[in-house]
Amino acid sequence: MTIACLGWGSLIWDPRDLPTRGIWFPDGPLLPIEFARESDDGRMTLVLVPETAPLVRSLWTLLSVGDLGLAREALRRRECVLSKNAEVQIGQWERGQAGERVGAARRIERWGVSLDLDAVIWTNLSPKFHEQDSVPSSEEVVGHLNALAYEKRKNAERYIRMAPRQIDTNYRRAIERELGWTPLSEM
Amino acid sequence: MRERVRFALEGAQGLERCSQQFRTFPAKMQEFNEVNLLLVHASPESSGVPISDRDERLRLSIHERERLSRQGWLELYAPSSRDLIELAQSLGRPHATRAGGSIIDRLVPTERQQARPGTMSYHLGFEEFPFHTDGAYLRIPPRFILLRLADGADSLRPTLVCPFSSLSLSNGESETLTRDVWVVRGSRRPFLSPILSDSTVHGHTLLRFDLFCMKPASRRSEQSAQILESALKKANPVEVIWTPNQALVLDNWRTLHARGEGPLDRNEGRILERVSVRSGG
Repeated sequence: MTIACLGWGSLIWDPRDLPTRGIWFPDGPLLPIEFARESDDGRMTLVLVPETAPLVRSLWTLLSVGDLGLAREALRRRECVLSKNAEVQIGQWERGQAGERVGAARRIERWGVSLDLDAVIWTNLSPKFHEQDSVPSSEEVVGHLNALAYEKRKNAERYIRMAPRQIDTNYRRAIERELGWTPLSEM
Repeated sequence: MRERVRFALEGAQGLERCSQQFRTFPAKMQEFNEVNLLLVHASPESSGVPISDRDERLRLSIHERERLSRQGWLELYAPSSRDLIELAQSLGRPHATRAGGSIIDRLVPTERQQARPGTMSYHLGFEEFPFHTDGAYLRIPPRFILLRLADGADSLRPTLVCPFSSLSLSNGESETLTRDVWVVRGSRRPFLSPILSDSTVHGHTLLRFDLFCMKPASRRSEQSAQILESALKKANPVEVIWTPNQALVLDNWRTLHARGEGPLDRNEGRILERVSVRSGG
């Protein structure tokens, strides 16, 4: 079974124990991705957002495990997703799987079929800001990042600058313009 | 469409301007992501490359990607320069190796006296080239190198490919390659690097080896070159015999390559097209 894992954030430069085959390809599906999830340490991380956001080209890698359950479990562990939330927070498409998909899942399905993949998994965390399940505005994100204390701000800056260049979102442009956090990534 | 063609014709600089323009007009960003903009530089040698306006780009298949991931190199079919660039785009960001240069380099055997300083031809002329990685003088060398026999060219000289993983090295020897420091020259400022670095790019071990731009920082560091050269002598490299429409993809962070021996003189038309690709993943 050929399984791909999609990526757009730290999974790419820091996959840890995720069993990848080593190369992240830049021609993943176009997806609505934005710096719209506030992590526990204050960083604004990249997540899928509703289809209103502009689409950006995601990245993907082949996994070295051939079992979908193992692949999902590996991604769950890497993303520190609680087991009870894995059903929702680890996304999956599998060839032949029944059900009508919409939005990002539909885009992923079309892409997976076009590449002749057997399955695709991805991190499906939702937007979150100040403990609310909502999508912050770019002004709120810039203001939040700018107000972080030194250490947290350094971490937050590193995350944004390490994000692959092709994850060229509106918020990233605003952050770059207002805070000067330009891309560091080679990709 | 006119705008796209114009940017494509302007090559790497055009892409940068194109990107800047989309920054000015964010509404175009999605279109920019959607279009299959080709990085074709209108230099004399590549001006015959048509600009693609089709929706489907040539992409590596899953099996090809699996092979490339597993073995660090891949032979494939690329009937045109455009295909080479499209393949490069499915691996990362193709870039010119010199400021203002073409995305596609044309590698032509050159006599020592006529070669540009700093190139292997400058040191070796028509001779064999030793095993090396490309762009070793860069702090972060290109991740992938794509080579293709140019249209109408012919070569009796193979390219030799040797994945680092195929070398017989003990743990101690690998450790030496990671520890010993070398001075790398060739870019604006010299810098220090080991042959095998796991700190240059987060999450990757990067192989850098080109004795024409790298010198041992101390006498002890010479040992690491001896280790690698000795392992390469015992290695069983893959010999890629060039045929029309054939291309080769190298994972330049973990695979060495060399120009093999053969009847080469100034009359032989061994012209290889090369595309360098940046990729952080």
